[in-house]
Amino acid sequence: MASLSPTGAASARRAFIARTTVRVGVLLFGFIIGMRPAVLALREGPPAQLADITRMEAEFAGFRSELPRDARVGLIAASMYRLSATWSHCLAAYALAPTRISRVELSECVERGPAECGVRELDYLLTLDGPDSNLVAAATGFAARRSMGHWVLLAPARR
Amino acid sequence: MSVALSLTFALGLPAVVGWNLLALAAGQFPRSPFGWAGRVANVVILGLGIASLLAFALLLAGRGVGPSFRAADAGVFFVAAVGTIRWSRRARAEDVPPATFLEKAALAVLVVALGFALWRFAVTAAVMPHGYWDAWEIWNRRARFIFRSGTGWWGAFGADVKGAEYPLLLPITVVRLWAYAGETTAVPVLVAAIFALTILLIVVDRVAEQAGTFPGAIAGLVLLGTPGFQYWAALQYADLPMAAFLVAAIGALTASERLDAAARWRRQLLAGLMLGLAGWTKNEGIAAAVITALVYSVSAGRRNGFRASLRELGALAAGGGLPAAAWLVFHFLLAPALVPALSTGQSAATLLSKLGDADRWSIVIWGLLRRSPGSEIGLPVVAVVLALVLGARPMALVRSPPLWIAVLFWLSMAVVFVVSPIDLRFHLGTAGDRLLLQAWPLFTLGVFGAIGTQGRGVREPAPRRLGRAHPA
Repeated sequence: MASLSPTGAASARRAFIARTTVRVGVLLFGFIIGMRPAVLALREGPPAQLADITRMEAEFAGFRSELPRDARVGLIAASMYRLSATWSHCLAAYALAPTRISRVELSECVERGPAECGVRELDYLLTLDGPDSNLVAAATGFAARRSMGHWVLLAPARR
Repeated sequence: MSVALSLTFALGLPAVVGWNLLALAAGQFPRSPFGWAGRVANVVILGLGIASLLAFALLLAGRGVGPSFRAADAGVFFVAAVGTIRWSRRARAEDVPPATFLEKAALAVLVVALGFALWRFAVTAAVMPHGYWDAWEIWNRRARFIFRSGTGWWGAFGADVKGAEYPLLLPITVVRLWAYAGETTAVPVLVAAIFALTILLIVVDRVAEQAGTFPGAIAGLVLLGTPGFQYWAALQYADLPMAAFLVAAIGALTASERLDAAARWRRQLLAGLMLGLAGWTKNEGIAAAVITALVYSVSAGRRNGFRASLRELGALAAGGGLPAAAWLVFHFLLAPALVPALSTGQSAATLLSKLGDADRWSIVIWGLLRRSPGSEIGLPVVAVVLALVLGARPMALVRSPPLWIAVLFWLSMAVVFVVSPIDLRFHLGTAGDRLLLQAWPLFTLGVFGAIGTQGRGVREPAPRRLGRAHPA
């Protein structure tokens, strides 16, 4: 095995020190980069969403167990718990799966009549809005006028 | 039986079969922390992928999820594990020289950063056990639909069910684990954690094998340093599971170049299977599979001619046959629509008009650049600079197949956005970053893996030790 000359050995040592220095620098930089997202996120805290889903799950738990598999359920497209109508509709579909949930624009139904928005096809009409809601009041009156004996109107007084 | 034991059993059985299959397809692996970690990661997702195909077949053949489903699943995997046990003897851990002090330090730093990432994951999962929007609106809802419907599970694919046409791997994996452990939000959380961790371990292992332990650890730190990677991991979307199968496939292919013909063919079959599973997870996986087949067949053609190119394509297609068949059966029997969200109301004329619209291209390109992984700190550029500092040659980067696949995949996503019928800014805002994230692990693998190659598309002679593949 050939041995290095003193000049060659010094050069190899310098190269080793340079390479090691670069790698230590890269490692420190990598450490800062690698820790950054977790540290920032832990400081900020995760987005909260659980409360909406938990509330919806609890709300529908009993109802879901009683539903026939082929039930046709309409959900009044009003905001619930100050959530948007789209959001609450999607949450209800998740909470009530495997029941299919149709979104019902009740205000249109009240104005145009049930045939226009297909509510006659539904077995259940749901809303989670409080009894003070205009839409729920309209829905209650609507259900009464149509003699919807087998329809269930959920309108818990919670906000 | 507790939930933890049930889940261990449900994950362990297919993992044993995965181990045997991997031993047949890729016998040797380095006896190092990264080598073992990469091996286990591959085995677990291979097992989950195969299990999803079996679960789909059992659903089609039987009457929903119940005790008979669980018994059939366990029985088939038990028989398969026993039947393939002899293949496991092919698995050989190769000795590697002990790690240097810097390599050990890099490993320690990576473990600390991973610990923080897992802590963040746990905190997020505790607050959002159902995941975020698409997770509960599409993926987990479908899992609930199938699991709770009993014999009526076909109803999960009605025209009025949102996302009914999305591929099935993720929801069916959750359903299968629920069949063992009962319906619990711990399952989708666990599945999300497994796939995210798998990506990290495979990238680190593949880079370590190609370029050395130190670059492997740095590649891992770059992945962990990608805010979107950690963010989407905890939200239970399907993008990272798809990315896991994609990077596993490319990992198998990048390691196949120095093998003999028979061993290479087995690796390509494995890669084809992983690519097929990527398509069985998300439709973008099909685009990624096509791009991968194209890049590797062109690469094989340039090296060894047209026939080699055809052999490469044939092996990939054969490997992906089962998932592709499952995808076709799914669409033929259950969900005839392919991508209604993107195709409804589109005609050839509107597509051409959008493709020729410079304004749309400008919005898409700038929108995607702004949403590229780690764009807040210019991470793609940082990754390339770090790789160059660690000894990657520019030509090796230019000729890196994983990099080509990542870039072509991103271009294909740009085309999707350009022709999208959805409001462009809304579409970019809700999907841009996570679609780019699908190929980000591949980009990381390509950039840091290039440290171990000469830039002529040919690997250097097999390294004498894993930590010194390339003298920097």
